[in-house]
Amino acid sequence: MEIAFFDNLAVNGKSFLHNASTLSKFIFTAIIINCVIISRGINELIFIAVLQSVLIIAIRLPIKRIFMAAFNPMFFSLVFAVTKYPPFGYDSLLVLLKTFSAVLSVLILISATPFTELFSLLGHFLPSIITDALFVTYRSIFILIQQLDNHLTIMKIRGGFNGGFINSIKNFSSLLGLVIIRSIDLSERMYHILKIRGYKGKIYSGKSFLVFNKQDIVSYILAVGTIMAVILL
Amino acid sequence: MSHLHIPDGVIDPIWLILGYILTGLVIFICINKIRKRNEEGKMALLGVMGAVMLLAMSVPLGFIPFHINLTALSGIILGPNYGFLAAFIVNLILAFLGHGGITVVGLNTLIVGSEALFGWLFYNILKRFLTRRTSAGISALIAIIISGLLVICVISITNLEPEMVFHLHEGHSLSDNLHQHSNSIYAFALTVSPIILLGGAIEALITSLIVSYIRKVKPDILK
Amino acid sequence: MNEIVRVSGIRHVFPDGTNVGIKGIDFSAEQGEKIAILGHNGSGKSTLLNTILGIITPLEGEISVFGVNPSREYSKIWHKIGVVFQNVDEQIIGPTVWDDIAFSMRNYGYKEDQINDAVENILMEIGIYHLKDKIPHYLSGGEKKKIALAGALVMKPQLLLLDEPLDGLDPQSKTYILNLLINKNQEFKMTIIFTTHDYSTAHYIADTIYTLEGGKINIKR
Repeated sequence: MEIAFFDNLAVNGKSFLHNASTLSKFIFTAIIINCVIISRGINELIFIAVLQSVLIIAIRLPIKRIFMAAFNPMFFSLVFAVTKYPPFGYDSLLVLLKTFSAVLSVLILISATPFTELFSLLGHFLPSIITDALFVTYRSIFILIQQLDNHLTIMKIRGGFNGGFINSIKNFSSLLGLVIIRSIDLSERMYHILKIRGYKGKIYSGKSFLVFNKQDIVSYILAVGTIMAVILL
Repeated sequence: MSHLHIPDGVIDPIWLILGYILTGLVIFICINKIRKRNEEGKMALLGVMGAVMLLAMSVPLGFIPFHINLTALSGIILGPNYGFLAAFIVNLILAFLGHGGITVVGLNTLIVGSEALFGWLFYNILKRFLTRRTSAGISALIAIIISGLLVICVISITNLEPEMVFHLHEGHSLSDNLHQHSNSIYAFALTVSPIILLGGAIEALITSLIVSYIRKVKPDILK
Repeated sequence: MNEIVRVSGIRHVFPDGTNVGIKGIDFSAEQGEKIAILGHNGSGKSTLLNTILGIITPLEGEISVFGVNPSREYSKIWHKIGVVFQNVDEQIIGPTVWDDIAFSMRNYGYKEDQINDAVENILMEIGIYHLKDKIPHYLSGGEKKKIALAGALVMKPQLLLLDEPLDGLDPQSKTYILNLLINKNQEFKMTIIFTTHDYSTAHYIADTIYTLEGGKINIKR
């Protein structure tokens, strides 16, 4: 699953961006996305995409895999771009480039920042029930993914996806039903243990909100450079 | 895919802000209702169902080029308040993965959250007359069609740029501009409708089969 | 000595209809006692622990923990109990190892400097200080087990409940953890109840060994 892949990159990375503070990375991403949104020309967008590609290589992320992940969500933009500006012209390309760069921005962010740190940061702005549920979602994904993988493998070995479309859908649904039942049991056990450990409506993270370090400077320089480029190009 | 997650760069900033404000308001109402009903104990279930939705989306149905997301089913299991919160959580995480823009989380949550709400609503109405399995399937299909229509509406409204109405270029009338706009929306709707319908039908079938399985193995979940 | 736990003749029916009964002699634990519950898979060991915790409300039988019925008055006793479940993945919830170990102390309103001292000490004692900033789910099963144990011990609980605590640990870690538990027990008279299917482990640490077989509880030592 993509979330596990990117989280692994974030946890094991050692680059300046990995070591920068979460808040700075968040601000950097927000600036780039805003530049992408307000851009009205192909030149600016190509500049941003090139800058992002150089950054991906510089911080030693797998560029091919990240580009693949960035192309997947572009289906909607393609439909939108073709139908709004038929058949396919300058404006269509503009829409596609905007989506591509915006997706790259968040993929760079999650490749350099573990999800737990992002959730801790968001915890300062979101209601605690949502932040806590985000932590539980994150933990549960890693617990359930293993179960789901095992079930899928067994299902394939036992021929669960042979025997036609209806049979495959039926078996796949039973498998999901099983995962849901196990998930609900898991949530009950998790809630019990949370209560036993004194949970009173907030999972605390010791991380402070306003933390900056030397590594942040590079991301701010890049952000300012992008703003200048968007203005000048 | 049975869902269309709107990416960044397609919608004007003013609509994005409005989307966030509306989503914030709905979240505020949902959390208040949860607190009034003392339902905070379902927090872990909310988190785990969010994980299930994300996992369901990640499973490629090798035999067809779609993915499902079980939002209507989550609405049935979690109820409308937690269902909406689950939609927010899933959209937020998906936005970090590039599926749906980070600036569009507000609007996407309203769209996907409506699916949880309508899934829950129609299921509870239909189960009085039909079997739970059939009710779940039909309610999932209706909910997906409604959320699909909402996507078309959002794209239609948010792309009606103010300049188009107020700053008319020489030789172009307001009706010309609106006509051009409605043509592009019509083309957009025509392209995405089969996707929504086919994806919706598959998700409805799977939802109904999952409910059937749960009824056999652990019926108390659906009480 | 103070009696901490007493369980007699409980029977519980799970939602799927599975009926688990524990008949025979009364199960009891006194302050400072180290108790092992031996039994095969499905013998009811976890049901017994969950009943003591108050997670399960039995249909029949008497149960008292710190003098109260745990399923009704759990809020009065949970802060005195540390627990490590069989699947520790489900109980580690903090974003980092440090956050998870500090979880209970923060919830029960300890001051930040008290928390820092206690977490630092327990990390050192259990030998996982180097993991303090790590994200838990990337660690090995054995390391997670140690984190869960640290999270339970940091509160200096009066009663420590451990469900198969040594599963997934290498022999060296097993011995280390067993000796640590013995030390903790002596240090602050902590009552320890743990389930296992390994007789040698039970024999090594326990003052009293109960066996569970076919729904019947017996005392072995």
